[in-house]
Amino acid sequence: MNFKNFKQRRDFLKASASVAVGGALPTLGALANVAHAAGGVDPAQVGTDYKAIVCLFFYGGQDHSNLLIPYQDGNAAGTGPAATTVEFDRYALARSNFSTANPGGDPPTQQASTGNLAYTRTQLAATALPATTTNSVATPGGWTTNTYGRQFALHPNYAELKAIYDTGKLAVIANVGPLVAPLTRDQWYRGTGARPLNLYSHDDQQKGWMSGTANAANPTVGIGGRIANNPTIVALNAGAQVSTQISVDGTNTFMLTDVNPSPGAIAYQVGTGGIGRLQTSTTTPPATPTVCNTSSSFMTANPTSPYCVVGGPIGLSGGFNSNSTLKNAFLSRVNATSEGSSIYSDQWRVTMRQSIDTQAVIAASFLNSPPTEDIVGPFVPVIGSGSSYNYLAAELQMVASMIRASSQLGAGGAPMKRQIFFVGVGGFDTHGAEFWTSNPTSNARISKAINAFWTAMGNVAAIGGGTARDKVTLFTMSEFGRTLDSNGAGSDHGWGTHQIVLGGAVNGGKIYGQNHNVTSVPATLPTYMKLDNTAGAVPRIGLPPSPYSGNDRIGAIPLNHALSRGELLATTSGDAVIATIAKWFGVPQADLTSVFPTVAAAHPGGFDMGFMA
Amino acid sequence: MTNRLLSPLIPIAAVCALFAAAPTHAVCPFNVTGGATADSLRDGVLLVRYARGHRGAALVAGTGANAATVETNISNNIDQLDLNGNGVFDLDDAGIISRNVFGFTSANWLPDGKAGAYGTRNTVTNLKAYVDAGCTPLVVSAPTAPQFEASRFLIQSSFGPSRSDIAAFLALPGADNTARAAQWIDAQMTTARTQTHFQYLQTRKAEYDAVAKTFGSELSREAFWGQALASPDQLRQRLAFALSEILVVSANSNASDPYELAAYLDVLADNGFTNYRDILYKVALSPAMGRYLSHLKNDGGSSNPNENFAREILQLFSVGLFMLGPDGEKLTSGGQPIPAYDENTVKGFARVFTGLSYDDPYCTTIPLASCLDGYADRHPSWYWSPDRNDLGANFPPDITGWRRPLVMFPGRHSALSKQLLSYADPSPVGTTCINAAATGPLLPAIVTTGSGVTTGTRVNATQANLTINQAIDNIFCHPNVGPFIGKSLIRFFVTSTPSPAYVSRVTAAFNNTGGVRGDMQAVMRAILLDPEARQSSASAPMSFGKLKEPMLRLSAIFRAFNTRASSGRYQLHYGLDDVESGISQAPLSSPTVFNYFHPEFSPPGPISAMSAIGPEFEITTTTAIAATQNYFGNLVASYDTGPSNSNLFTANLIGRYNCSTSTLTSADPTAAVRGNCLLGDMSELYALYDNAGGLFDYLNLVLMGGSLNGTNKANLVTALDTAFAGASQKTRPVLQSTPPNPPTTTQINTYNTAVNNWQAYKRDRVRGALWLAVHLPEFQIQR
Repeated sequence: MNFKNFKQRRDFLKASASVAVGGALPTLGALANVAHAAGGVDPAQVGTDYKAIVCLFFYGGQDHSNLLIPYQDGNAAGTGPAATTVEFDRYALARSNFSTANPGGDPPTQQASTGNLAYTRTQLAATALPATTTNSVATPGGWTTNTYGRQFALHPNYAELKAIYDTGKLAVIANVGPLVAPLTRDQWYRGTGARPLNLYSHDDQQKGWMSGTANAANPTVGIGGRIANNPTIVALNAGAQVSTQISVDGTNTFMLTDVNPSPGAIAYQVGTGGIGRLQTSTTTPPATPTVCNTSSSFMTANPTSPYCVVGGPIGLSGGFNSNSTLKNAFLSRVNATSEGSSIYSDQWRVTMRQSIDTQAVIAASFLNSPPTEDIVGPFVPVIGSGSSYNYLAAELQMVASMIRASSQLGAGGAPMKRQIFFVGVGGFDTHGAEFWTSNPTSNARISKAINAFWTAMGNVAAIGGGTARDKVTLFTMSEFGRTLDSNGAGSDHGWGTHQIVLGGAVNGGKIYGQNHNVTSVPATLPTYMKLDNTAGAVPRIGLPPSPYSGNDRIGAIPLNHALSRGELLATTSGDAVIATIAKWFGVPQADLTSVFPTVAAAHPGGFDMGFMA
Repeated sequence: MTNRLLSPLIPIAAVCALFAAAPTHAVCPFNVTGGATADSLRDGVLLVRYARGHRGAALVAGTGANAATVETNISNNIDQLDLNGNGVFDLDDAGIISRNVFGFTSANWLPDGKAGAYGTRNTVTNLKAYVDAGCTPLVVSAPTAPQFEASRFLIQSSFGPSRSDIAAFLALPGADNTARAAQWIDAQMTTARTQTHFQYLQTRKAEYDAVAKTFGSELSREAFWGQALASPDQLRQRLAFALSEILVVSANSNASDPYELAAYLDVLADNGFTNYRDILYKVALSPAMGRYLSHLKNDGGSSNPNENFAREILQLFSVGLFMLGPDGEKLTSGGQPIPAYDENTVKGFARVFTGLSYDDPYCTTIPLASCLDGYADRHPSWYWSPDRNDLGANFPPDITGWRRPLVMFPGRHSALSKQLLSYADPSPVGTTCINAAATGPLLPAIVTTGSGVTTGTRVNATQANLTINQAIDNIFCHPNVGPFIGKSLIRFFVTSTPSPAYVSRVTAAFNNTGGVRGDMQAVMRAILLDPEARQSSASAPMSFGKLKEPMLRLSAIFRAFNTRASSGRYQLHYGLDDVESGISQAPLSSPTVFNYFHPEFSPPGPISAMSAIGPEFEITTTTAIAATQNYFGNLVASYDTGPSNSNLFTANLIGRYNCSTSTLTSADPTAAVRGNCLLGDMSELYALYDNAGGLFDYLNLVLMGGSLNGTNKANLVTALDTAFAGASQKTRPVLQSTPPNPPTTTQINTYNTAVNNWQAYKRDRVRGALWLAVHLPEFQIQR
């Protein structure tokens, strides 16, 4: 399956292409005119007590062995490249489709037909992360922030992410997956211990991640939904004009709310739309910006103004521009409460009502204070068009615009205090040729999109000082990692994988994660269960220690798999990652275990990972 | 067009020679002089003069006719004489009548191919039908309760009914509508396909080749829409569509060749009424599925072959994740659902689906040494060789290869043991189940006996093909398949939240109908004829019914008015699935193998509050819901006069859609554009234009299955009559009939303006009613 490929938005592309071909950027003065035309205080600042979280879902299963790649190891015995790259060599061999033509080292060819999934060290050099402390072992069971001298590289196309990592605002969380209780490899192979339902299934693991209930089939409430409906968060957003939850990627489990939630918690789904942009530096912005045609031929005519805001919210047409009688007849049905005939009819009407109401306030806020160069500028170079369209960038551009608009969307037009966003990108289900054909391109777009978002956040001021960067935390999810070994063309489904956390409040530039199987390693365990502390095979992250059975060796080289095909047995639950962020977001400590129903059981020793400032 | 009143008369003299051939018309009141027969020259001239406003002496000058008689004969039959149905008798009508009574063949009735503006009969075909039927004015009677019932059934089982579809249904023999439904289903199951999708593409290819053009996956969508909207085998097409949302292959992937997709849709349409075992087998061996879920060229030489297809055939196509009872509810053990299989089973099936690749004619028709090994099988490595990978990219050399099932390259089939599904079914019916029971849940390692030219000991083709068949039997006989597939199909056709008893009845039909397991005809009968499906919508519980998929709402609008493209091309190519400007759905274009929506999705709100299911709501986001309505509203309520409009209202008030997207030829753009327009027949709506209640009754019949209640209808009537009261333009204008005679140019212009205003009034009432109708919950929701 090609999981959630980049969606084509042909009609929209024409529009965005036309606004992107403008000349020089507008002058700051011109932009100021726009802001002043909007009137009053500068509305481009997020509130003092503003916080937002952005959930970015990598659909299809992020190949962990392709995100954090062994580069070299300062612990290695001996000297010279051959010794320090022993871990890389294992990676290269395991990903080489075990071909005798690829006996290790830099693989000769990288194409789908060989099934070789390894990058070369040369390719990895630019994105290699710095190593931390060498030759020390952390306290068992802790949240290590120590790579023990081992050095990993991010995917070669994550150059922008690597740069942010270096600034200390981006962290990698290793070996994360749905987890309902600590589980050892011994338990895994003995078939004991509580484990998430339907591991390896796209659908179910997506729901497990997004719901925080990996032990429930078909969950109907998501983490975002619970956070938005938490009384403290509800109180912070009392009177807000839009939902606390806004998805730019359609419906998703993350934002599902329980029955009878606070009305403000029910997710609103907006499109990517497109945000207007001044076309030339010589254009004088109009006193009142206009709304571009949003492909709804009834809403407004396409204005001739060089500056217009293409809003993501799609307004419902009046059908006849001048005919309010017909529109009111329709609205009277939409606005009626339960009609007592069909739950499907009632559901449709509720959804329609929310669509109409929210569109109106967001469109008004965009017009009042148009998201312009501060938001659009960083995205224009990366969104692209046609087959190179960066859909995630378009989604994040809308998130950035919404964050900017939050200053007007609280009660009575005051700044909103909390927002939860959801974006998603597909293409990670790299069973086959996608690994070399589309995935590298996709990863490059993702890195550029996140970087553009980060730049845009730096352009939005915060009341009381600083920028929106300080107020926003972005984290990734992906349903599972993948097999380390190759199936002959790509990699198959796994369990744990690595995730990224980004934000001004993130104590980044580090790799977090919990050690694997360290808490209790009785001496009586079989060899394959023992912690491998030998130099060159230090465990912890990415590639756990020691083979579990003699069968999984190629010649004399142990494959160093976690599970039979090198998929990772998760050691940190995704819930712990997000609970750490939720606490920062303002969910009271006492409520965390109800927002994350299984996190305490999965982490008896505590689940605050400590990466948030 | 009324402005043609001032245009020159048609050259009557030039056609006098045809006088002798004038046919008689016993019914149409063309004989305005009251003579023994219609006198072409004289009656034609009189009608033309009348249409130009001549009366009295000016009317009959030189004809010898009696003016009073002629005027009476015309005015008494003025509605019948309105041939093009635009509401007035004008020069267009007079011209057509003249050509008709002069004996022109009907092909020449419209010399420029156009009827008058606002006409509801604007083709020679429907003009001739009108004349042949004696010029009987259209009378649309109020719908009856049986008609509403029939409509509701056809909404469940087709791409949408028109009034003629409903009439045909009611003409079937049967004591009641349930009996007629059974008859209808039987007839549908024996209705042959008009054409395969693949043939359709081949036809188009010949045309494109002739002008050195090519096409992509959009033509597979065009093929789909052609049959969905216009072919008579509606139930087959609906079932194929439903199956395409269960056994998902999507152009939104690397499997996007138009022939590949068309051939896949053919597999579903050709086999939908066979046995689910056959469907599973043919899907597993289809090139499209092989590419989409990447078991094509899955290498059994790997210790861990690709698990993609293996996982999804179990999880999505047959068994599902958990053990189910016959009622579709999860079985539990200790309060927990019971997994239907484990990872070992997935790995087992991954080994099963190995060694399959294209049936490449190159290798069979040209027996190159490298194509064959010692067993006269296909060469085990030839097709896998990296240096021949270009063949994979460019496959097939002959496009018909997309129609052929994948074939086994046994040297690449896994010889390892294969864990299959393990289950206990007390009495599985059918020979395939006997086979499956004999096989057991573990296929032993294959003892390899042969040796190939290059690969050494290997599996032979017989062994490998047997493995595939045994594995399919093992899946097919799992007790989950009946409730899993049955419940899924119920959701696509009837209701999102079926009762467990309903599912049980469908499961029973799946498990054993006349000693056969998996009989899809029996399953479809069980679904559509079940008492729960046929219960009165008025008394059904609030959880009965469903949100119609966007594509089915779109097709319903087209089909309600018998919309057709005379070229046979239904070019709904691009953008339909766009969330922001389309309807969030298009055929064979799902974003993932999990379809556009999950079968168990329950949206927060009134549905989740009743623990009910609403799969289609997963794509009904707050953005999509507005965009979809805008699309429908634009379709039915905007109008323009250009050729590129995409709506059902043009100046001539004949539904016309998508006229400008011909990608083929510019040699005759006018003709090509016209042929590719989707033309809908709105004449019945126009016949009701002044009767708001009648309009909504009609729309309730064809679009809502009778679910619009009296209160809501009354409010709509009030709204429409308020919005388009239009007293000044409400009355049909009359051309000046007092002196001066004939009327002056000024008088004619005044009249023309009045006619145009009156036509606009009619148009606005009809499209206003349609706009309201497609925005009603009753249109979106099927009860």
